[in-house]
Amino acid sequence: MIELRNVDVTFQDGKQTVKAVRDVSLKVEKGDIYGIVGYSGAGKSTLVRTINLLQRPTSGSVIVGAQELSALPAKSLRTARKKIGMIFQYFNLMRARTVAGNIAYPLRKSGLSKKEINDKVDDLLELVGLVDKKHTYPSQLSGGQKQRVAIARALANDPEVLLCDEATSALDPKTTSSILELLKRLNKKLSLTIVIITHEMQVVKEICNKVAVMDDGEVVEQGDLVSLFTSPKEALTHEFIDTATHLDQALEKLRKHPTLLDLSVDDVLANITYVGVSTGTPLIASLYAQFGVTTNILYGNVEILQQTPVGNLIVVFSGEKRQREKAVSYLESNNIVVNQIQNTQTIVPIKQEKIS
Amino acid sequence: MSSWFETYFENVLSIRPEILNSIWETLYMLGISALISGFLGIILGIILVVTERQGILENRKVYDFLERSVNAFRSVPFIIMLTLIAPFTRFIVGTSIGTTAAIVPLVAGTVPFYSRQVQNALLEVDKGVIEAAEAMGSSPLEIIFRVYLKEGLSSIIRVSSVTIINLMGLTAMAGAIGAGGLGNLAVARGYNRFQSDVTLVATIAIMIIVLISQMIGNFLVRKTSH
Repeated sequence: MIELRNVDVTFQDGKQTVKAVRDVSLKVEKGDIYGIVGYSGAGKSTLVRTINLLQRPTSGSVIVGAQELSALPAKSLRTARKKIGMIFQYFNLMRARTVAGNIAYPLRKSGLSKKEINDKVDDLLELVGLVDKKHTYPSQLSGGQKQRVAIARALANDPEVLLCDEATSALDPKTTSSILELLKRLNKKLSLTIVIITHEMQVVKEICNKVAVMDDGEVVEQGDLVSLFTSPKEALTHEFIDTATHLDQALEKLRKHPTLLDLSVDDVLANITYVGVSTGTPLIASLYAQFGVTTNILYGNVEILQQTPVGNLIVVFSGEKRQREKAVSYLESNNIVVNQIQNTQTIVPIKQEKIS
Repeated sequence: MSSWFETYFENVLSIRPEILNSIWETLYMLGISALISGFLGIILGIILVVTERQGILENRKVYDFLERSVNAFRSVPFIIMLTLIAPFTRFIVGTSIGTTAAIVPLVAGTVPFYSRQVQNALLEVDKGVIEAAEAMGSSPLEIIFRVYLKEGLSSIIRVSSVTIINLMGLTAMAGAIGAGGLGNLAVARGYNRFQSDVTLVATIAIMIIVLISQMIGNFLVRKTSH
């Protein structure tokens, strides 16, 4: 549905050259909800703007549907853009038009009669759940309602693709999840392909089936959500996932309060991640039964990603070194990822006191 | 009452038709030059906004040329502008004296000011909204008429009302080249012939015109902003 081939975007600011996007290639299939995640300044907003050519790539090509957009003349590009909806962080509604006026804006010259346009606006309002706001002005709406109007407006020309540029970043958590619910529903109902740009892994976790992680203009890692979540390769991906699972907060807490750990020489702190079926089996219990290793759970979290449960635990394994190693390899043979967590400096003195 | 008026405003009473005629001349100069400058100013203001850096029809050469011309014209004091463009006025109107002839320098003095005001008014339109319109496949012309002018309408009305007050001041100065009007009346008759009652009446008439145009402006701004 969408294909970016070796896209580069370079900004020339006086004598300074800024490479906002470096050699990005990616493919979004029809019906995907594709998340592009990265910190601010990573180039993700620039990247999503190349998809409808609001930002012309310095080199590389952009293909949407069967058309190579980057090769189209201005007029055909405008026609093509009508089939690519876009929503924004700050909604970008027109203040001088009512909700209905905003939604009808892209329908001029679409060949529909006045009545047909009116019916279409009603249908769209129904779809986003704002029927009673038809004649109000955007200034009287809440953030979530504004974004719903923006979504209705983006869908007016029945696009096949919807681009979301930080669409939930200005909304509170509750409104965010209701907008994400709406997007998920639209994806199913209209088989709409959605590309989501965000800095919140939470958003990606909730609705995307594929993810790309961006850093400094480059896509450093991409893949389907579950495998990216369970076996991330890049440090940055790790970081994002830890934020989403609140693992980073848990570790931070443990670091600040070393007494929570109270580790001895035979103890080791680890993070274990398990996916799908293995969630059901009581492995922790069998570690003691088989190897005499006790497992103390300090923090636990289970996420459902694309109907697949993914668990994350922070545990302390206690037992003799050899037995511990056996236990870990047993876990690994059951498709569980075990990562030892390095103890920080603050914990070391306490350990030494105990040893002496 | 009438005897009181007769005592203090005797000059005014004796030239009543002249006063009415001056009011009409002022309204005529104000109206025609406001219409012409309004039209030209909006066009130039739009061109300034769209050709600017990052504008929808970015064009450095056009922008720089307009920008510099506007600045140059704005720096010429109006009283000098009147005499400076007299040959041009004579070429267009046939004479450089009189009410109609005054319209040429009035337009020349107002357009640069007004186009800058329109430019600023249109720059208030949210850049994100322009981007959204581009993303929806709107052409530059559509963006100008359906987004810039529609979204910027109340700001344009606001700056127009300021400009009209400004223009009122210029019409009074145009009296200096025999343009007639209330300004001329206040100076030529009221001041030069020591008829201060005429000056007072002319001033009040000017204030009333300004007040009414301000009220209309405020009303329209309220009507168009949501």
